[in-house]
Amino acid sequence: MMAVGLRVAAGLKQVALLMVAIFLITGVARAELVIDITQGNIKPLPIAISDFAGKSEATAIVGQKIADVVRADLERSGLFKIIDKRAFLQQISDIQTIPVFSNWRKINAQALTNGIVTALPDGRIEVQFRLWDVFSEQYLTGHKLSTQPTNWRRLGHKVADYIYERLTGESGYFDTRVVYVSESGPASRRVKRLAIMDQDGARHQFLTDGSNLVLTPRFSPSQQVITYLSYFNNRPRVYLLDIDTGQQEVLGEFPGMTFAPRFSPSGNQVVMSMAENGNSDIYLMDLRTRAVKRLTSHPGIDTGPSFSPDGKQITFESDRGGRQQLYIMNVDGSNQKRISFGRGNYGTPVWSPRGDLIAFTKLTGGKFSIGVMRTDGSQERILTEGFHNEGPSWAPNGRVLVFFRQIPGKNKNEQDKVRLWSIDLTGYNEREIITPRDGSDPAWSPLIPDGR
Amino acid sequence: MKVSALISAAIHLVIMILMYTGLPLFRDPEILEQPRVIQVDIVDIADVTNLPKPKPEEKLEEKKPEPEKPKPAPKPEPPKPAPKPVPEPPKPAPKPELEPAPKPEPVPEPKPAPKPKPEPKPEVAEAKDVPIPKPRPRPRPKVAEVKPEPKLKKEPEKKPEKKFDLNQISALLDKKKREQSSRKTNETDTKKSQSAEKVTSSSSAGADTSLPMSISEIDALRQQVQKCWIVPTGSANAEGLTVKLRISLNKEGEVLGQPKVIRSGKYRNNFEKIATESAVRAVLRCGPYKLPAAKYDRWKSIVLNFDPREMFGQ
Repeated sequence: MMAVGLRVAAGLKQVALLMVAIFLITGVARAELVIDITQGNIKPLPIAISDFAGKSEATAIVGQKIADVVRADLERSGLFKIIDKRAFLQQISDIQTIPVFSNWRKINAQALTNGIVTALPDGRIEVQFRLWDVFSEQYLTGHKLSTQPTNWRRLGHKVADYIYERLTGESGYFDTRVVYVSESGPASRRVKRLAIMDQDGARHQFLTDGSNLVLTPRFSPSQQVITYLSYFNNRPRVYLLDIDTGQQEVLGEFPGMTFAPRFSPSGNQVVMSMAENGNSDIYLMDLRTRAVKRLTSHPGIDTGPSFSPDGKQITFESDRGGRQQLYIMNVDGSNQKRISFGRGNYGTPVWSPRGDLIAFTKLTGGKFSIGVMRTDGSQERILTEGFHNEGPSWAPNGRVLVFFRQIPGKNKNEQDKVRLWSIDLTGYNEREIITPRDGSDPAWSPLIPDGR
Repeated sequence: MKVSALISAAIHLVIMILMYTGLPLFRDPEILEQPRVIQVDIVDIADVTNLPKPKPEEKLEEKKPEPEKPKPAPKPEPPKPAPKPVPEPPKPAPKPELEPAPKPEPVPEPKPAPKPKPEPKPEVAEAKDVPIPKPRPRPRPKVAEVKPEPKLKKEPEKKPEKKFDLNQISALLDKKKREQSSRKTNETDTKKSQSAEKVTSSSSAGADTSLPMSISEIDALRQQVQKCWIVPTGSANAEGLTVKLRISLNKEGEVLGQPKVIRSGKYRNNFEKIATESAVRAVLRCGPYKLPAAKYDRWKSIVLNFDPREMFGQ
């Protein structure tokens, strides 16, 4: 009896101790303040880019111009606010010294880039730059690049790419080009020429002379070759064009019209449409063997094929369901299934280089919009909507799209304007890419390989 | 004996439970109507409040595994004491410190007979290896000293030393503008903090250090940090990028050293790293924080939980 009582008492003691312990623990826990920060700002990151220094006058001038390219690239991305260099309290001329960060905090810079240009003995120029975090006073990244002096713009683009990548976590897209169809003349006698330029509109040049109608140029992954549709001799055919040599070549002898070509991610295949007796289907051609394989055989119109980045699937548009909608299939043509089910018509699907999204043109209620959806058709999102927006193409990092937009003339005498625009995946930061004339059907190149 | 022990135990237990949970209401509802006279006067809560929805249990759970540390340990950098000769002297320090810092010239390989085209990648790797950050072991005390310097005052002193060419003048004009704007924000800051302090003095006149932080005080701090946080919205799955930081503050509300990142495991991708950096930047940029001095014990170490989900409508 007694023993039992004692045991109970002992048990109670334990309970009491436990409770005291609980009090203590909660007490200790309460001592540290935890605060949830749930709202931040969506605004560009302020960055200071000092003119790249140079030992001679010539290199100093190049350094300035390169810094200008870097500033323009980062500013255009919409993710950075470039701090006016006239506000700088410090000019960094020596790449080997660490900046006085307090000077840069005062002008509210959160990141800082400085660099130097040197003339190499073999005639090339070399750029070294460093990127710093001003508030945590840390070195973030730095690289050394060299090239021919005439190629200085690309040095700027590359530096901007490195900065962009380090501060956003995504690969950059500034050292890239855009090929498009330059248009001029009245609507009845429209002259269309292939043209190519840097992503920022610089170094613009024409690739064809305009004697034949051209459409839908697309880059090969190597960037050296473009595939497009030309009406040469009034027979619409898919062609290949080597940018460097200017050499053109018809892609295969098909009985009907071929159109809407696009390279596979490996660059060894081209997928395209062929129309015969009013029916269009999708075909895949191997560029090495020239073997052709038919992927769809449906009475509806199947066109606009685009590869997934892993090369295993193809998205395309088809009106087999009555309306123009988006579909995906395996690269051998199997497992075709519809993914878009919204109201209106969907066309020009393009698979994102990230693989997670498909961009498209949507026609609904008399308006053309550019949108994106997941590859299963869910989470459709319209990025921009208006009178006529069409033909999206992804920047190589899958973050930005380029498309063309037709703006109707204000009166009968004024011609419509057709221009190239870029837009961020968030739907913000719409910017016109300035072209000398009207432009349509843009295609963004992959990143330019380092050796070129 | 047994019965009485059990009864005693039961009563004790009941009392303990009551101590912990509080007395239940046994009375009739009518009586509750009585205290109508009470004058409610909620004045000093900050004008804008954006308290997040309370997440009840979760927090206590999370805190336990992290034992309290008075100061954030510097990221494991054992060689720290060596390069820091004098910890105290503030200003003259930078110069000599810079000397060892410049990284050894990044392998000045002359790159003999290279290809005509640029081939930046390979060297890039080398340049990267340049041990820039290492020689400079984040001079802790300096950060604290540089920061608090009221931006406004320092400027005018500097100006006269500068040569006055035209470019500089326009630059200075530019800065003026910026200063003004920053002054403005500073003013609003102080206003906010004043209101925060008001709360303190009215609600805890006796400066009772055991009192927890009031909602207004916490809210003021939250707003101060949020104002400086630029969320990396473009990242893939940006909404899932939560970051937890522990910061130590001195009595002036200045951040001591670097915020400590609380996370298990390595960064799974670049986006996580960049989200963390954005949070660290926000914390460092917005100090010194306006907090009630009397409750220093409560806020000398704070955990900040950066969670952008709400911004993405989740």
